Amino acid sequence: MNAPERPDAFKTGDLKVVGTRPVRPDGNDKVTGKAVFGPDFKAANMLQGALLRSPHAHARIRSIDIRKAEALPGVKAVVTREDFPTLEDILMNVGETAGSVLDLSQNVIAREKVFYDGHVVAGVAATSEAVAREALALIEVDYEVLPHVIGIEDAFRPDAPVLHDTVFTRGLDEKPEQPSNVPLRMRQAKGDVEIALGDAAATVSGHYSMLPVHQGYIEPHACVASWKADGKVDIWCSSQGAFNVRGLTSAILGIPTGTIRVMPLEIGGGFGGKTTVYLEPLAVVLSRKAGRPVRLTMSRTDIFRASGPAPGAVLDVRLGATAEGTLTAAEVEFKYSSGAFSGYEVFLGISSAIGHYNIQNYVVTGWGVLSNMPKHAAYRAPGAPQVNFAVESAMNELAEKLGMDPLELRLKNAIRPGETSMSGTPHGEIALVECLEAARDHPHYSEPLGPNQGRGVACGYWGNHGGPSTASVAVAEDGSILVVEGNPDIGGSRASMALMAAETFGVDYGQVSVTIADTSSIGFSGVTGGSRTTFATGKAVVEASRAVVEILCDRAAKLWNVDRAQVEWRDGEAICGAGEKAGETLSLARIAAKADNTGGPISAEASVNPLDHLPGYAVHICDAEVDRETGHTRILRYTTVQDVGRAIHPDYVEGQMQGGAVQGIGWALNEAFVYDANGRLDNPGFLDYRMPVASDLPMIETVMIERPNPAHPYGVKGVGEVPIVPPLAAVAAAVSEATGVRMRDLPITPDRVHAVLHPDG
Amino acid sequence: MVDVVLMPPFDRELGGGDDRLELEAASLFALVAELDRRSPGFAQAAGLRATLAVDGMVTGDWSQSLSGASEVIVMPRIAGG
Repeated sequence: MNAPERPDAFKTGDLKVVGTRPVRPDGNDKVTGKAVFGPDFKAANMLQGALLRSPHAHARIRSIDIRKAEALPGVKAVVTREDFPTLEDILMNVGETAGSVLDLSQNVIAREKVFYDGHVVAGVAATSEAVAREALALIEVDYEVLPHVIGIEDAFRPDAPVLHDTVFTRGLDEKPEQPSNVPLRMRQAKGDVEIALGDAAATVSGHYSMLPVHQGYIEPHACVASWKADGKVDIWCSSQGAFNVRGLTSAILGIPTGTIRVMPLEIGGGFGGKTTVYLEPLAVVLSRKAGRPVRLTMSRTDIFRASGPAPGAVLDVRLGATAEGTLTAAEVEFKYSSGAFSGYEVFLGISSAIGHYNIQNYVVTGWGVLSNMPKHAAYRAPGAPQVNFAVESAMNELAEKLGMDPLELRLKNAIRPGETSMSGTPHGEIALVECLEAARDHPHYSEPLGPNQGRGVACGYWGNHGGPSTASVAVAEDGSILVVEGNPDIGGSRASMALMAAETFGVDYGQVSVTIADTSSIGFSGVTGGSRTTFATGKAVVEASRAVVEILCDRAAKLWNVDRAQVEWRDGEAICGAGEKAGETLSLARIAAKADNTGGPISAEASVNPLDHLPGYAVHICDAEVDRETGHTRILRYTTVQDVGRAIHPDYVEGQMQGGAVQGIGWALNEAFVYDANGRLDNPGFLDYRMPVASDLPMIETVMIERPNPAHPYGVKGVGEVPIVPPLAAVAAAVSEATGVRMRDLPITPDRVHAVLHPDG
Repeated sequence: MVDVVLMPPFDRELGGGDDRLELEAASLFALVAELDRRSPGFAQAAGLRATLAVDGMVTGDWSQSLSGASEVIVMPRIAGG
């Protein structure tokens, strides 16, 4: 993705705090139930909100009658589409990319039509949840039920029910004359694939599929909004970005950004699914109408029915190689579902498809497909796991055909530093080769297998991101260091920021406190997503810390009455280098105590927009055992190897590697959105939507390959997303070897395995 | 002159299917303005949709001079979860 060339900026070997494993500052509160998550927050005089959701997958709303609901005692406000402004279809920042405000607004509350089972139609605020729910039953909605479509191939057909008559496929040679459910086609090509495939010594091809899966965060979406007497708005919610909530709510409601203040609460998982808004604009409008704070919370059923899953996909892959295993051609075509409104995963799928290999001839084509499902949302490396499943499965098949070890085949073709990425820029300090070598040499890879057992491998990458972040650092009167950031702490970023600040100051980790600020208390920061926070916000923290160290040295110089140039900062204290005081030291606490006499409070703020991030690579090894009677698959052993840059807090890097792998295993083996014939979600709960739990899996083994990013003061690369990329193909390959049947459709559920093992029933 | 490489979908939107252009521009702001002339509306959306790289380095500072630069890549802005 990028090629920073500033090796002088990175000093290795002298880190004292970075790379240690202290207890996270928020840990005790989170494990003792004291932390305040989204559904925990209460405001004085707060009302309870409830939402009426569509029972239909696709219907025109003829009318909504709220009079009976409004008349119910205890009801303070009822809102419908009439309470929301008509918007122009403009683009704005949504998480880390551009999105349509009109689409977002329509996803928050239906206008002319409902587009999926669970689409919000109206909201109520009342003195209790029971009264609010009673009021929902009194709202009369007259629907004209329309034909619906769920499956990707069904929605792609020219005679499919069309969701939006304004959608015409972009990216074709000519604009289509008819609207369709296909908003986008993208293609990236190089060389001549057909000739290369024709000349290849070995080729493989395959058709692959998977259904949408949910992010599965434990904490439900929840918020409290208060429209105040001065026309300003307070919102308390958990999200992956308070500034993102502020901006989207402002755009959807047409109110100035500066009037909204978003207070971030602790977040119980997001994985990309909390980079958008569902409830906040509704709660604000309810509060404005009721004149009191309003709380909205999604039930688990609501979450499954109406918050974004990751795209399902159908994919076709052809690969060609020489007899020695050099890849010569790749043809990849995929269709991604995006729900009822356009998404952005297609271009991420294009860039993620084959970018970890050096291939001279390729064509990658992606299509986005609309259908009557909730608008899809980001999920950990959005768009990458799906296409990686197909490409890496084909790689395993190619290795078998060539008689090569699958890791050696990958090593022969792996992208290396200096080679060109899919986006056209040269790669910097990447470590895919080192990851593949470490996997090949790992004891796991040579461990013998038993009957009905198989081993699979896969590798993948994710581009990571940087982007805007702000942090402030202040020295308290006693020398304590106070860091303020604008990014919610999802994966241990308080600890990481404290470690980087402590390293920069040369003090103990315990001397630094980190606070997550609201949107009116710190400058703009992008979402905690895209594997960007430790990298970008970390840069802001280090930059602000360095500025404070500079101030501290200046203050010490004043106290010693020497030139600033004669003061050095080392191990948390100033050292005088000249004059009568040469060799004397001043501690942080002593300088802080004299702050009022040397210039006043000591603090600094840094706003950064770094784009010199580097991608992350991962190689996974999976051992699986199949029960031939039941078709059940058990994961026996699982190892992840990852290019992590510098691990600031190794525990949390390993946690990301393990968490991503487990989510990918669930995607491979169990998870899928299942709709009935009426387009209603059939499994909107954890009993029927089966995610892996701790007792299902062995401990996920981790191997961190530390090749620092020279563009970051402590060598950080993003680590949170790439671990979900390889598991789908690694698990499928293991099951394929165990069963002797190539598994190309996910999830690999017991009934599916049983069917391939017992084709006659 | 600077070589402008248009990654999908900008090859179709700005280059009419061609993925390379040669343009004269003093800075990235000027280059974006020239691309906007060819595809009206691009400049308004570019900050949201596009990432620019000058000679291999992604930059967010569009006041950057293109004097001495040989290549600018226009690629989609990425997102993550």
